[in-house]
Amino acid sequence: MQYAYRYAAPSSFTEEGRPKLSLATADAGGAAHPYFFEGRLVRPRLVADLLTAVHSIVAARFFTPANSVGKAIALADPVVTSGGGLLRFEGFSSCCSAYVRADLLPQSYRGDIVGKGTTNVDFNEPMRAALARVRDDAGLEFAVGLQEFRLRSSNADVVERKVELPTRWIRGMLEVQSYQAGMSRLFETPAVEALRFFRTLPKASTSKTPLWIARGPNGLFATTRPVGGAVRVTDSSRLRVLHALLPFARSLSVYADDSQQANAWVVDFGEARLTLTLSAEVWRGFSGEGQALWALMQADSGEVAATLARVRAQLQWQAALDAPALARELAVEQFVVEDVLRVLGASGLAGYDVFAGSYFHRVLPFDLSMADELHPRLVDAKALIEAGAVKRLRADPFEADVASGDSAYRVREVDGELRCTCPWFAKHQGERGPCKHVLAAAALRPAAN
Amino acid sequence: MPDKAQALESAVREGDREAVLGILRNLEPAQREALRAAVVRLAKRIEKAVTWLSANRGQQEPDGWGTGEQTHAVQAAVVVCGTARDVAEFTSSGTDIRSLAKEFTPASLRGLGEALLESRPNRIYEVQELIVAGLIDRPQGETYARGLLTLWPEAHAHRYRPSVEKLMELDPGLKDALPLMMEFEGDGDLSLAAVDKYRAPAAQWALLLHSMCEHGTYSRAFLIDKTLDALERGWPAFRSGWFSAFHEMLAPSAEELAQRSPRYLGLLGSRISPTVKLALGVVKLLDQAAPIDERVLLSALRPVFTSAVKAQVEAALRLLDRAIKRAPALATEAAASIVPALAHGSADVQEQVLMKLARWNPDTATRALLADYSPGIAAVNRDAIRALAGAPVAAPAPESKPAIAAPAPCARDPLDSSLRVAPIETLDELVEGVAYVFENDTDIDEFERALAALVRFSPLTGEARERLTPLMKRVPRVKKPVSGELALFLRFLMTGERVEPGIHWRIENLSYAHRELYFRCVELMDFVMRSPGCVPLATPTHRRGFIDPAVLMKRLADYQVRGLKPGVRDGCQAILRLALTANPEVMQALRALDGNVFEAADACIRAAGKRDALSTRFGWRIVAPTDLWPLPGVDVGLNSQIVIADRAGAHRVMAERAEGRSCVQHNVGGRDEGCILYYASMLPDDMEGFFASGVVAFAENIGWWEARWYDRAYLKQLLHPDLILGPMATLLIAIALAVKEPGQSAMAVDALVQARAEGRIDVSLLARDVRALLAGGVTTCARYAKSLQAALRIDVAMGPALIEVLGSAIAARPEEAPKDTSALLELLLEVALAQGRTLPAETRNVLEVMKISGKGAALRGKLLRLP
Repeated sequence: MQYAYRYAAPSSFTEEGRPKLSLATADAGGAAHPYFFEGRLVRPRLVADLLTAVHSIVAARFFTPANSVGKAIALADPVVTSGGGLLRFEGFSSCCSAYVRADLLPQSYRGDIVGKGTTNVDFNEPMRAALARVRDDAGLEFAVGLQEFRLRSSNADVVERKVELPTRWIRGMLEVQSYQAGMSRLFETPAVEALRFFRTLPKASTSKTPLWIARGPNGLFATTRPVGGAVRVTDSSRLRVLHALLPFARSLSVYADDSQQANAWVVDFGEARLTLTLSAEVWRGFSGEGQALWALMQADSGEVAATLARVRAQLQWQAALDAPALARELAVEQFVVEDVLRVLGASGLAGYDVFAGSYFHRVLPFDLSMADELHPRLVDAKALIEAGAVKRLRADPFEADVASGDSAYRVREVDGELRCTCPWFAKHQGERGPCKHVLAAAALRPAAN
Repeated sequence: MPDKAQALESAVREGDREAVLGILRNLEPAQREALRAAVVRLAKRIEKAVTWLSANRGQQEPDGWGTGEQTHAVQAAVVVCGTARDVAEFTSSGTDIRSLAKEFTPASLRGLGEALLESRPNRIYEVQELIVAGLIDRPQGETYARGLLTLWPEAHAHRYRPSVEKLMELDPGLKDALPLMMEFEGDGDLSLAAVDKYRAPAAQWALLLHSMCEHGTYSRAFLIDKTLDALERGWPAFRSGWFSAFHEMLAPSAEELAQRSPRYLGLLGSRISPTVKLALGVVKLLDQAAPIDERVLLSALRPVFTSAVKAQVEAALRLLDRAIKRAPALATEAAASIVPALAHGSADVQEQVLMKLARWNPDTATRALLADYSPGIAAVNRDAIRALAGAPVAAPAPESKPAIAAPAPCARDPLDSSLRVAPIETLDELVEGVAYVFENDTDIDEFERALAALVRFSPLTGEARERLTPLMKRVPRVKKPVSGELALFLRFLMTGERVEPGIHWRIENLSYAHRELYFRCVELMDFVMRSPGCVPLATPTHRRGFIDPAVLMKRLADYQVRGLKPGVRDGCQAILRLALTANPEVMQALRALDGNVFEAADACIRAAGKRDALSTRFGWRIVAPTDLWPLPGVDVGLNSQIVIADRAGAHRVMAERAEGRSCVQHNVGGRDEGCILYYASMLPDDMEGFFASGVVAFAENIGWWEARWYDRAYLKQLLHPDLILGPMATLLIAIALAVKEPGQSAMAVDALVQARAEGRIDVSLLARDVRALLAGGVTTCARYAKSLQAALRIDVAMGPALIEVLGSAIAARPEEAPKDTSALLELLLEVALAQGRTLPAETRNVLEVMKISGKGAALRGKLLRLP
């Protein structure tokens, strides 16, 4: 997918007089240049380090598929969201296996949030290089976007940069929100302890041997065996971006979903946070996962569909979307609102803050009209249903035959879970979300189940 | 214009470049541009034909396209009629763009420089020619810089290329353009660092730029400033490293350094390690030449104290120490700034920081901060940090509780009910099981379940065939050995077809394990034809391939009742998989068996003496010619020689450890994880031969010279709680603890921790192996120190075992202790202090005679002073 970033002027760092970092913004297509923030940073060096970390992940490719030339993808620019007093900068690695977000909390700045919304932000090379020179003692003025007046009066050249944005990149950005929503905190550790431990991790990639990192009486340790309360990590080099940040942090919290298919590392600085979310394997980009498929499948029918529009009407760039409060306000069950939020996350209309444990409103600045098409399994499952390919054999335990191409696969319920005889399910055992046959068959499953 | 396009196509087809140009000369510029679509179409057609011809050498393209003349002709047309991007896409460096451009002044000249360089940076020579001829403007930005980067290596590699100096003569503007290369980070393929890394010094940019500096092309000040500009950008270490090295090559004078003093001080805050190293060196020189303002220095050094590089933290401490001696009033502030260095893992660094803190009079806030750093500080420094903190700091973590709850210190019964492999009972399970094995080649238990079920479900009913049909589509794509054999077995059941060895697939090319699996499956094909619906004798009843003897007795009884004859391999494999059992009746019955029970296996199973594991257990052993039963690791009567192929000293140790046992070192499992794991299941009760293969595999690749990921299968087996680790398994751990690949050494650490907690390993034997390997120069102290430290982090109860292993390790070469012995001594001191343990007398004796200098000598002294 060809995508053009069009900024009215490049992001810049000026050192004359009082140092100032101005980040240029642009919406999809470059028609508008939102103006979000003007003020001064409390810890300039920390913010510079956080923005550098975001760029490090965006510029990283932790995996190049075999038999394919590592296609040089022009880097996608990070996304900034302003809302609820927070400025959030998000990015995604080009291999789609790592997601990063830096959250600047209100106590990290002195100034005004002057606008709300989500947009792209220009991370050009000179501006990134200038971040390396930021020092706390010199102070730093900070702006996200330009005032309309200054935009007009600026004689800087328009910056236009076309990038080839693969659909899997956008798909990954959507999918990672569903993963995060299913995570729970495994442990929290002081930053000093985390730093000491991280320095013992191998520098070389360990992508072939998953490590389980846990906290024991002697602090953090890594093992190749699954142990209780541990987080599973492959290729610890993906965590290297945190090394430079930990000396200035308070704590590190680690989150993972129940089946350890993704994990999130949140570094807390008090006035800011950095969230790094990793997929189970470097070769498994978030784009290929299917955690959101169940929710998206429900989006067209039933109570979720009925509530979706009502929840969307409530979205006002909140920093935290409170599901119980929304449920009360809309007079629906809380689980329905939670399902709706999951659908919104998978549609690019909400992000998930794993530290706060809640969704936040933001609209990814891409063409989201084809969000459904970004999930091939969902499209295929709907096609199977439309073609009448699903034949229910038994209601309880549920069993169905699904004709797919010239093959018929059996979907059956075992211990409450649906299993399929297709190669995809055989390989992943449902860990990467349901296959298209399971999704299609589930539509015919009795409602009670 | 169809007639013109047609004429052009005819001329191109004829390969007549002059005719093509003749047609184009007679057209107006606008008419030529209108022909673009036709020309591009032709160019694509010819390009496709050229690709076809290169794939079908010696043949003629069906439509007669793709000749060299046609290519030449169409390229000329593309230059005249196409756009800059068309020229970049369809022309090559052989196309004379310059003369065509001079004659026609085509529209393709707009943006041609950028387009050519974006398509291939080494088209820079054509771009330079066009610039010199005044046909295009000089490109700008990163695209041009990438092109410039290729100039010098290309000129050096190809004599026909003009040199950089020659190009500068032709294009004086190049002098100002060349430094663009120093302004862009580049990427893995094209950056100053990447280009210079794989070139001989004479072809490196660093040397050329330096010589240009000496000849006055560029001033020293200009290049130094450009270098510092690049270093300030904080590019990744590899790319920044080129500039650090270039700076060293330029060797700025004291005066030049002093002029740029603030810039060097600023570089101390860089996130890039080589840059900080450079800055520290320069700042030291500057400070020695003329003392730097102490407050400025303190502020600049602050970021270095968070560095992970020990030498940099130490250098910064020394610099600050000098400054504080000059300005003692800053001592308290300096004390606060160095506290982050306590996060460093080195006890040395921590000690130096604590000594400075003790001298620099830290304030209350700084002392309070020490509590955050106290947990995890080296045991040797705990008293010092407690004394400094003044107030009670967090007590060290309890050091007796393991991080992972250890099971009871005894090996579990391999026939434990939790390890039972349930047979597949239903068609649904069978379909899922076979599909699973097709996609998961390394699960041998599931493979055996699926194979046994396929045999048992034969002959397949109509319903079974219908359900298994979708899997048949997958069969041709299942290529891995273990799942591949299952796929071929399924195909045989469904179609009756067998795959015979052919030209591209020879039995002798398979690994021993794969060969055995192949023959077993072939035998089972015959078996299902004559005895359908039976459970193969060798089907495991428990994980790792074990068969419960009671179950085997039942199977044999069933065979006898039904008058069935098992296959030779099936019978042999069943015996090899038998587990010891505590049931005396079953054992008695088994001992009463002789080869006659297995009528078909009569030739290879005999009652015999008591030399090998099987004979001591069951009263008989397998005696067979190796070509019939080529299972290394089992004494088959003919394979009793230990092969010493001394590629690594490990073999000598193996020979010692073998202690008369037969441990053949063939690469049985080959280069496939599934096959190695299948090999492990062939004789699950005596894995010494298997682990001997593992020892060889790891000893040959200790430095990870070859990416042999499959070898980790040997280590996986060490984790089984029912496995008592014998001499070869212990030796495998000893070697794997010191391998370079971090994933494999981590697995060895886990095997050690778990085996010790479960009482499955003889630590004394491990200690002797480690010493022997170190003495033979096979392994290094540094890697052992790292692995054993990791083991201690996982389980503090490893302390006594570590003291024994470390004590033995330092005894490897006490007369000429290698430098990295200090890593072992440091760990030994840490364990002894943290756990309040005394050193064994032998270890003290070794320390007494040890010859070691520097840090090692200091540690030796501390160890000897321990109570």
